[in-house]
Amino acid sequence: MFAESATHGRSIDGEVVIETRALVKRFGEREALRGVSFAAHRGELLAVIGPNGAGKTTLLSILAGIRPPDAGTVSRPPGEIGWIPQQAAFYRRLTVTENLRLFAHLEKVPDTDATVEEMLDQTGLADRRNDQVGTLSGGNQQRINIAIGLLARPRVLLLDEPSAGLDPRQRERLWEFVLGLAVAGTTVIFSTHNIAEAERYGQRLLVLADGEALFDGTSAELHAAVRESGARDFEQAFVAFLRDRGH
Amino acid sequence: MRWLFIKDLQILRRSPLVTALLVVYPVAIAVLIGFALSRGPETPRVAFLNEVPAGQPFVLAGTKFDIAGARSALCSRIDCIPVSSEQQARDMVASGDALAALILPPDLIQKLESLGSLTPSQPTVRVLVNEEDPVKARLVDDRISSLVTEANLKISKQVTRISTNYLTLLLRGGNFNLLGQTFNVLGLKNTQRILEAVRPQLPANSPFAVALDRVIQFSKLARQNLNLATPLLGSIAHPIDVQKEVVSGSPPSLDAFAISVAATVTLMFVTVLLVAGSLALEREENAFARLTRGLVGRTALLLEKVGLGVTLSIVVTLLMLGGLSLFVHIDWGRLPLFGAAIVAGGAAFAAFGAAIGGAAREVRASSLLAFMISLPIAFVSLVESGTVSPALFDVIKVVRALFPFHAALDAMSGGLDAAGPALGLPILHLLRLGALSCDTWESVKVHLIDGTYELFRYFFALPQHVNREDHEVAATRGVVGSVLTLLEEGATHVGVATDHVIESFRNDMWPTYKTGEGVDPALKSQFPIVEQALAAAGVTVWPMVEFEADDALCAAAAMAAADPAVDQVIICTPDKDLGQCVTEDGRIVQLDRRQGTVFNRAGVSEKFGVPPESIPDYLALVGDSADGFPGLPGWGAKSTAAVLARYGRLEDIPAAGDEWDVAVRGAGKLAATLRNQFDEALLFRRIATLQPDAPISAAVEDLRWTGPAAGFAELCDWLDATGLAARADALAAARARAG
Repeated sequence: MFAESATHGRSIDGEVVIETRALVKRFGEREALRGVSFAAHRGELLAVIGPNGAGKTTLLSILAGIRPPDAGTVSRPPGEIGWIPQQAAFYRRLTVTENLRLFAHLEKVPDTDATVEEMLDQTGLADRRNDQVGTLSGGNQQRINIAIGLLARPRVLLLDEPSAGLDPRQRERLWEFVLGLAVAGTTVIFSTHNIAEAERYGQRLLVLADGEALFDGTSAELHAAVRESGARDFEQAFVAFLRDRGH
Repeated sequence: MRWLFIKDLQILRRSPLVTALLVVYPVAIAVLIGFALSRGPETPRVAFLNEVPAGQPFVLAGTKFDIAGARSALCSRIDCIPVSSEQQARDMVASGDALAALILPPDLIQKLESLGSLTPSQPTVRVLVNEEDPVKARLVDDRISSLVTEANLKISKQVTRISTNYLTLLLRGGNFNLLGQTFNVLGLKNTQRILEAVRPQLPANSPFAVALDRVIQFSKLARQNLNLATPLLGSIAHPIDVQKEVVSGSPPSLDAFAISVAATVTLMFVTVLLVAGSLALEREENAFARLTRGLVGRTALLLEKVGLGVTLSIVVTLLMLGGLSLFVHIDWGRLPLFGAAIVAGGAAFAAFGAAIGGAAREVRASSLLAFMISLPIAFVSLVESGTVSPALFDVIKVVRALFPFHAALDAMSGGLDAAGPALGLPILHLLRLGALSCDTWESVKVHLIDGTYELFRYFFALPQHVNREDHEVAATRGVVGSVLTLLEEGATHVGVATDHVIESFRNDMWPTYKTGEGVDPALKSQFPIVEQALAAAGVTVWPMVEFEADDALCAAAAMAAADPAVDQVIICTPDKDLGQCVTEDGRIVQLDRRQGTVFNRAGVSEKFGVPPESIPDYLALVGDSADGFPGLPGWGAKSTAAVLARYGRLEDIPAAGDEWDVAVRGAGKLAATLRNQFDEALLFRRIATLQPDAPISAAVEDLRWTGPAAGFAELCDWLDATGLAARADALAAARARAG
């Protein structure tokens, strides 16, 4: 294949798959996003962090196409974005398989049965396939939520607070799953309140506060950007960073 | 829709309470109504205290009344509960065991018999009642009054008959019994006959002759008048006769009406609650945004819910009618008629439920709202004219017209009983109400127009027209007229993109890329004019300077498709470049207005042989002479379509032709060309790829057409096209009237 061919001497690892320019979103008088611009690359894990009300969910919902921006543009691969909302979006009275099959049909996935089996395999829920989703643990429900977002094999996966409400073991399993997706080339953009999680899993961080993008870089770069030295951990550094910028 | 429908049925199956209700409710209603109808109306319980000595006969003027028969007749109208004392009767009435107590006093017979004597005494019965609420009080008054009136009527007839006998005795004479003695009464007739026999025997000048003549005359007169009194007395017992004439309405039988009410109430509650709850569940499960993000259109979701409601309402209502037919007769030969009533009523109720479900957003709230709205509407719809004030009934008529219950009841009555109202009008009304409810889910379609294409098209299609200031304006008039036609055809949200400057950033990418060179100045000069005219017409215009009109259309399509309120984006241009914006879910399609052809994903694939996402790769290989880039040598439409249909994009095409698993003539040479000019191919693809970040800066709501701006009439005058202003004004006025 040309993608893997040395003949043309090109790499697609650095390919920008989603990009925003000067996004603005207003809710009445309040500006939830104020000119946010960033780009995400193939196979990248981008963490969107910030205090409550920073605009993280709003940004993700615009990227997902749930909300239109009031100004600015989003450049994204049409129809190739998987969206996993913070609150699980599926039918609790249906079984795991029924949920996956329903959304696979709606996504017009070519081989529904094979895709469902693959998702059951990936989520590790093959043995719970006939259980109603409402009876599963929060962690397993989140895995179904993510699996539904992955049915159409999107190039970009948007996760809004994916580990909220999960216990440490469930979180770890979730991130193993998500990291596997990124390794396979899926661009993952996730929002989180858990700063340690952002540092650990985010290859790059986008810091939002009051709808403004304050920082776009690695955790090490953010640490370095804090004027006040002596922060014991990344969370302290992050808080100091926000304080430095008046938040 | 099919999968959503199956999903809803699966969820219903997993909700035992709801499923049980769907079965139990109609069966319970059927049993209740069936028992009520088959057993007839319940008789009121009345405590009956008879203090009249046992065995005492009731003889009125020699006629013996059948007391036992009278009692059984009375007790067939009421449920007589014999009691032995007045206190017992009082207790029963006070406790509510009996609606009332009827006490016959010991002297009742004597007093009744006195009515036939010369010294009548009015008989009295006593009634004890418990008027704890106004409805009960009215019921007691009506029942007891009715019974007493009936008894009075019977006795009155007998008294009248006795009176008539007395009169006959006076007229004709005869024997009369009083206090055990028999008297002979001469009678007026005999008196007159005797006097008339005596009169000729008197001497001619007898002083008694005149007096006797006066007596004979009186006797005659008395007979004649008393003859008239007999029918008069008869009419007292039945003084007024009633002749009824139906001037309006065609009531079904009482049974059919009761069945119709039961069926319509069932239909309403089941359908409204089910659809409202099902739609609210989509939001409660957070699935609504996921579905309407591109998987299912809002209209499709609405139709699925209405379909679910109609299907289940048919099942439930037929189940109920089936249960009822065990108790009462239902003419199943009329199934097509009442079946149509069920379907139309179900559709209207389902649409009504969808409007509630859409507003409530969660299942409990939607159920509560559905009950709170449906119940009073059903109640009010059953109020009949003449039972409330005219003003209130006018309000009730409005409620009946706006909500489906009354129309559904009429349709059901007409369907079940030939004597019921005609079926057609209620069904039409129901379908109209259903459509109105669906309209609450406004289906937004966004029309995006390629202004440059339209201007070129009209420039070459229309004869020239130079206005008073020596400007060529024919094409401008054509474009504005064309956009107005689109609006007149029902478009609500419209945006037009133009190439304000024909050159764009792509001219820096490829030297021969299209420029404004060679474009007729008379055409070129109309770009700013048409932009100004369209803006004055109230249409959103995007004049592109750095980008091209196609980029703006692509950006606007992405922006509009991202809005969940939008059902479909229609890009109005036959330009092949825009094929790349068409989406698989059908939310973005391309329309060739001249041909009237809509291209969805399948249409694009059929036209070019490749799906929308491969259009830039396709153009990169075959080139685009209109845009001014050549493509790769040797790559024609057929070979390109075959290769890209298999591999999708340039990067995935195997480098060597013998690795291709698609049969293309000259594969080796084509592959070599691609290999050697791959960077160029990528460049052409970048050129052919539309930029979704073109500056359109508009939300969907900004595209809604609300009428022309103030200066549009003057501009049309300048264009020598005042008819355009008149059309825009008329359309704006029509939309304002339609709300």
